[in-house]
Amino acid sequence: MNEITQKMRFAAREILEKKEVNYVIGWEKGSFAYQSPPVFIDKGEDVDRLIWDEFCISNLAVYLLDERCRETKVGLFVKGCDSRGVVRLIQDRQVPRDRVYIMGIPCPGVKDPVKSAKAGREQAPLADKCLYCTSKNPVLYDVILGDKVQEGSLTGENERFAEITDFEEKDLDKRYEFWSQQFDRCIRCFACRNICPACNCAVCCFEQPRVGWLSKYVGRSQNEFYILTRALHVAGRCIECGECERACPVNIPIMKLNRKIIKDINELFGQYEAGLDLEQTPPLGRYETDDPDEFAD
Amino acid sequence: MQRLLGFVGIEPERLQVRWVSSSESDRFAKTITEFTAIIRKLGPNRKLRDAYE
Repeated sequence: MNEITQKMRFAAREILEKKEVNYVIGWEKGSFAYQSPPVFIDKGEDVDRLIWDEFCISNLAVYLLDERCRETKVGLFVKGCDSRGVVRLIQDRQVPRDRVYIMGIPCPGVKDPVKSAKAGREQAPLADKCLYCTSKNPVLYDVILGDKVQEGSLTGENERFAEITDFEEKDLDKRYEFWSQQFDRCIRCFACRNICPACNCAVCCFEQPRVGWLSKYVGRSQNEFYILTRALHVAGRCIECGECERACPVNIPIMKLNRKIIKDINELFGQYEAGLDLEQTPPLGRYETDDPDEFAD
Repeated sequence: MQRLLGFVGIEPERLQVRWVSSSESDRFAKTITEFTAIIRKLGPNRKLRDAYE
């Protein structure tokens, strides 16, 4: 058992026994060595289920949404990227700051469960999101477990958008062909939406079939309509936790769209990383007189 | 949105967004004429027509 796991259990037991929180959300060891699914613990004696290892990839911030209409207080373990999710939820007024007790874990990077299943536990590569990650240490926390790790992405800013830039240079019809193959696979299970901390509308527009936002027809055009709408909906609020892509049962490269939009926002509105600062409004949530206005020429 | 459409391989010119006030009839006519010219040049859209076939 590693040091952080011990600290997690200790911290969780303490706040549960003092009744400071109603329950704690963390990770446990599941059926597979290469997966650490989320666990919800409400009794002090159960804290030994909590663990921390390189497979704690799930972003637990999204589970705060289950509590948005209640008076519960939740203890939450966060990695660097997850803490940005919490910041976003607080900024979006989804969760009051005092209703969540944040226990931060400095994260050296986690491993992709699918790749790990193939490559084996030791050889498994880091998840894609961790290669570009610039906030390994939590940005918002009540208590931090363990020593802070060295910041800075493993690949650098250019590498982060390299795939996007390459793809943009391709022929228009090639791009269409690539994406239609992706969209054709979508089964509209809404896993990407349910797991996304930026997708926090109480009622989703895609669940109102009668108003005509979207037909129930599952096919290329309507799937594309759904995926692009969702991509633009989380624009400027996506924290690049990559959960949508991980949850997708048909492996649609959703992060490629999200990263493209992040790149555009950086070019149009100046460099911005979502969820780093509680005080800073997202670029698409405020108006500046020098905003680009391509539509008004 | 134009950028995103281009990214997924739809001709971005098919979407045009312009700011026209209700009192700017000349500008409205001009905008539409321009837009139809662009669309005529592009021809009918053959992409994403699956729901109508």
